[in-house]
Amino acid sequence: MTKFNIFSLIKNSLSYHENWEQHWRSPEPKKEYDIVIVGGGGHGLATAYYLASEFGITNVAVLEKGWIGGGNTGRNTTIIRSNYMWDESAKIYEHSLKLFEGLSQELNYNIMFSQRGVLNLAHNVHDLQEMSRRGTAIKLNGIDTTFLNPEQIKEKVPLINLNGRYPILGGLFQPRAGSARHDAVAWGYARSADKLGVDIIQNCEVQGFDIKNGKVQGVKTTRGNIKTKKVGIVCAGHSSVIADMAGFNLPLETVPLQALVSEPIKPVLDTVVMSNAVHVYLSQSDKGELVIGAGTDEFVSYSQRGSFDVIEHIMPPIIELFPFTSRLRQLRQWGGMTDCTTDRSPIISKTPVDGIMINCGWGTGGFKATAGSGNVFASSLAKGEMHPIAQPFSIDRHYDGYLIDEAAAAGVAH
Amino acid sequence: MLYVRDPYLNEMRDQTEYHIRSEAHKARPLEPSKVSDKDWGDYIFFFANTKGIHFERWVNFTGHRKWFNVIRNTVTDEILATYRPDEDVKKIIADLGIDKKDIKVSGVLKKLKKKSS
Repeated sequence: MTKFNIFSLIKNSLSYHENWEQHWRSPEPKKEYDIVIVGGGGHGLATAYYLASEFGITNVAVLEKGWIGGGNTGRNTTIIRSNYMWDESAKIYEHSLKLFEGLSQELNYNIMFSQRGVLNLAHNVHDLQEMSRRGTAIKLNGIDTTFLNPEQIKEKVPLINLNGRYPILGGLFQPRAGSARHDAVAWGYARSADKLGVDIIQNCEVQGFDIKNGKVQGVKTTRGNIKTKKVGIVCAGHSSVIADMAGFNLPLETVPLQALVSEPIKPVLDTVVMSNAVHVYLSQSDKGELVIGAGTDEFVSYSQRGSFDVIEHIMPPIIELFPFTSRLRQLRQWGGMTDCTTDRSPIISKTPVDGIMINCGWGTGGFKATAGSGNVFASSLAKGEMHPIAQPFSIDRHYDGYLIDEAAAAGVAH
Repeated sequence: MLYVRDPYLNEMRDQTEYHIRSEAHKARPLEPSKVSDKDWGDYIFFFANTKGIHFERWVNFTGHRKWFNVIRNTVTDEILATYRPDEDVKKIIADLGIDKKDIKVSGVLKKLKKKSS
């Protein structure tokens, strides 16, 4: 595999960049693998990469129904942050953020991780009190965060309207947070995993499992049966469908989440702005587009489309907070299917079937966790025991009541 | 955005007048204090989350505030039927010609069915 650097760039420029090698192979599935990962999104590819790089398990297949990174990995708003309130969440998201910080070097692939910071806004006294509680909890976990007053916010984001319909009384800022190129994260993991010997098999739909005496023996796919003793299900919106094939149920509901981007404009915003109370979620991409996160629909849907009223609902506060956006045209809008748990925390867990583990329930905020989720899930699959960071995220929390209720502590309310 | 026949008004209304509140026909255990943690967890947190024919509860919040059920295809978002809780769901399913194999219900209801049969 070519190492990407200035020399390979110069060398390939001589042949007009027409001779770059393929990023990964497209192998035929083997008869048997040590571990099969169902789902070739960011989390699945990261899992495969860490299995190979950290645990030396390279006889691994990643099965993807469509093409890799074509689902939620390519549909999110690319924000990475770790300012979560509860200890359990702080550990996994911070683990992920730390991995992201070194990821471009580790993968030799520019994921364009830009630590431009994330700013959460408070519009009323309750917001300020909630922010004070959350910010203090985040600080206690050793995660960087600062409280900003309105003047400091205005300095950071000059185009913001402090005294409009939604007055700004304060903010919480995480400087190490930021955004990354989502496709590059998937491609970088895929390329490095492939180099280490992982088979990435696209256009291969899982249709069932071969389970004997409660133990998994293999996976049935559209490209033949594959024997394996260990399966990791990492397929986000379709988790319930795949779990149904293995004969168990999940505490999930799949709902559409939308995002949209504006026409590209000159640089106006060099941080990420979020407001929980009025659902503003805004950043500017390197291309100059404003990337806007909308809310979820209330109903279960696998259509990859959201309702128009959700977009209508988020536009007025954005125009109120950023008056210059009122005449900005929105270019593209899309939806993804997010697998939401009731407590808005993920599930990284063993399942009722011996040999099958599942990593799902990332809901509306999975992209930021790609690296950490893949890392702890790889460890769990390799060792057969849940990684300590993953342990609190067991399915069993829905029976013993130890929920990790991030619903109110997330960046924006979904 | 969905457009739905309200079974009380018997006219087409906009989805934004309603809240959609999860899965329908999930039987609440009659004596919650006597069920196990497992069964209670199944009832509260686990959903069929069907890709295909989905039964769900809707409530109007801008007018009459009554509850009703909707059968919807979650792949196409097409609404197949709406009915009041007192209507005979088995007859509606039969009238629609839905194959029983295509109906998935979550934990508790499944179990109750097994016990009663």
